[in-house]
Amino acid sequence: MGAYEYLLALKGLDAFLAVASIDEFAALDELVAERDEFMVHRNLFRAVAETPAPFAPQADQSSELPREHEGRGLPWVVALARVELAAMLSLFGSNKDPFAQFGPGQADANAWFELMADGASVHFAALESDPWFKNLNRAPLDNDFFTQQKHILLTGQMLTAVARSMPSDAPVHTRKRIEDALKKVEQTAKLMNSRLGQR
Amino acid sequence: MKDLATMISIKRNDSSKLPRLQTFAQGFSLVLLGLFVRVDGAFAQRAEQNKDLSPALRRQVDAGLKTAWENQAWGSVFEQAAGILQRGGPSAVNSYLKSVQMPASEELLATAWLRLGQNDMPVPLRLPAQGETCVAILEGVRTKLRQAAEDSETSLAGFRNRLRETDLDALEDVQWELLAAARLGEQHAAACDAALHLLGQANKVNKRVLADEQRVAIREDLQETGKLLDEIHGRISAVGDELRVARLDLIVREMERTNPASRDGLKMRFRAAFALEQDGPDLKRISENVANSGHDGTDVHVQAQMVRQLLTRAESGLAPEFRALAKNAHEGLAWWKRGRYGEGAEFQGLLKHEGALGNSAQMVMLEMPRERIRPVDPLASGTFPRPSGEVVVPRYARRHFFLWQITARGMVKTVKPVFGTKYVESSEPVGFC
Repeated sequence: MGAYEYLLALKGLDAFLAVASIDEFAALDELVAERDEFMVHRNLFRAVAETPAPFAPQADQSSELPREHEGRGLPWVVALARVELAAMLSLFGSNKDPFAQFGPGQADANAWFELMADGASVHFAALESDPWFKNLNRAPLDNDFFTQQKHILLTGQMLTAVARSMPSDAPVHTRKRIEDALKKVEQTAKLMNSRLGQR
Repeated sequence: MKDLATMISIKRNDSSKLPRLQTFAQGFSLVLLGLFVRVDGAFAQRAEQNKDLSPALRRQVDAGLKTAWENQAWGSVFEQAAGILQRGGPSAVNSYLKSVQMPASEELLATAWLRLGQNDMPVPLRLPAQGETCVAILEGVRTKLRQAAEDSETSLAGFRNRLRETDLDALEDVQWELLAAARLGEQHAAACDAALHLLGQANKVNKRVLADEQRVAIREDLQETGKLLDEIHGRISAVGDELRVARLDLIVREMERTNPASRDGLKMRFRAAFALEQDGPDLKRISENVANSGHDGTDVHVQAQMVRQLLTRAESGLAPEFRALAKNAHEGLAWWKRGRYGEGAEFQGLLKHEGALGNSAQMVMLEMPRERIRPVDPLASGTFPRPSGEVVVPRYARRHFFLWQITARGMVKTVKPVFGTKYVESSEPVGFC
């Protein structure tokens, strides 16, 4: 539920963005920003900890929790559609890099990156705190196992996309945190694959 | 750091094998076949007299039916409730359901049946259903439809009063609700027809299913409710037409008042283009139907002329290239709303019915909130989980945060959303395209 709808949403919105003038973009952006139903929730990592999302460059620039929790305007709408669609394809599709296939356009690049960094932070925090992984070596190869494998795949793909799109002036510490997280995810993915290979 | 994983638990239920899709009408027809092909005389000997539900059936209620109900997995609810009812009998089943604070079997079955119908989905075939299942559905459906007709009547009066709104946003709020009400009315009318069909089939297959007096009473009630629903639907459509005219009138006047080169002027042109995109065909129909009625010189004719003039004024302010640009934006935003707020028929709205994957027409079907959305920040209260029953729209800040948990159709998840909670009955979403 959602992939089909977001795909068609992007078809229309990308067609609009491709030919809209600056004034037309600005007018629609304002209209969308004024309408509550197009608001996008931001900074969801605050559900996990009262700190900035660790994979967002802001994490190393300020320890304060971001106060802006609403994304309003066309870039947020387009960015959310791209992130959700790519994540669904990551889970249920065969594309190896859906976040590249449905990567951001010029108009929504900043919003997209923020949603991605926030989302990757939430997913990685959920994996790290999940007790299931503590017994990975002995975990039965059941539905839970394949469910967790999907989560690992999704988190890895999101982290890769965030690392690839990191602004050039992003702090070194942020980059290092993402690299470390990716390594952990890749190691876990390898371990899970080897468990499957032993079957 | 909070432990996100503990917020999400997974339960298995391998019994929920879901059926292939059919169209709305086919769906209800197939239900009938599914319900009655297996009716035999054995149900009379069932253990209905047992006041207590057997431990096995209790376990099935606790582990399967309750989870499916909480997850709003309607196909699974219907299949399991029908099976439990057949084996346990209505009095024992309802007594146990009450003790675990669940609705009675007829409520479960009727709700699932109607919800599947709203998504154009058939209920599962090859049900182990017997006469009591049929009676339970009919009783539950007729009660719900009667209530729906009363609710529609009440909301119609409210819509009429709000037609006088002079604020465009407020008028568009009304339009959202009217569209939802009209769609819901169509679905209820279709459900009424389907229930009548079900009733007609019942005694053909097995005369013991319903006593004559009971059958006549249900039929008359359903026929009366059906007429009432049709009549209310007609009135809702008429109010919808009035509203379309009022909205375009407001937009055109505003568009003509503002400088077309200004930001506000451009925004109003977008709104005009969106209104024409959404309501243009209906407005043309209104003007043509009335114009062709031959009542020249009457109020009706004057109104038709006014609608035609409105359309001309709106169209003259919008270049074809701009209309094409706005069409893309309008379609994109409409689909975005469906992606963000739409709910499928399974797993707390996270999934569409399995069969929808193979049918483009049914891929479109989903449920949307009845009222214009005012999204609530799911984390604003600072508490998790949210208090039970609190309305949070949208249900999911990000769908994909939860989708990864669903790996197999044979699993029923107890999803405790990190960023959302259930809709309450009063804000139950309604399907419309």
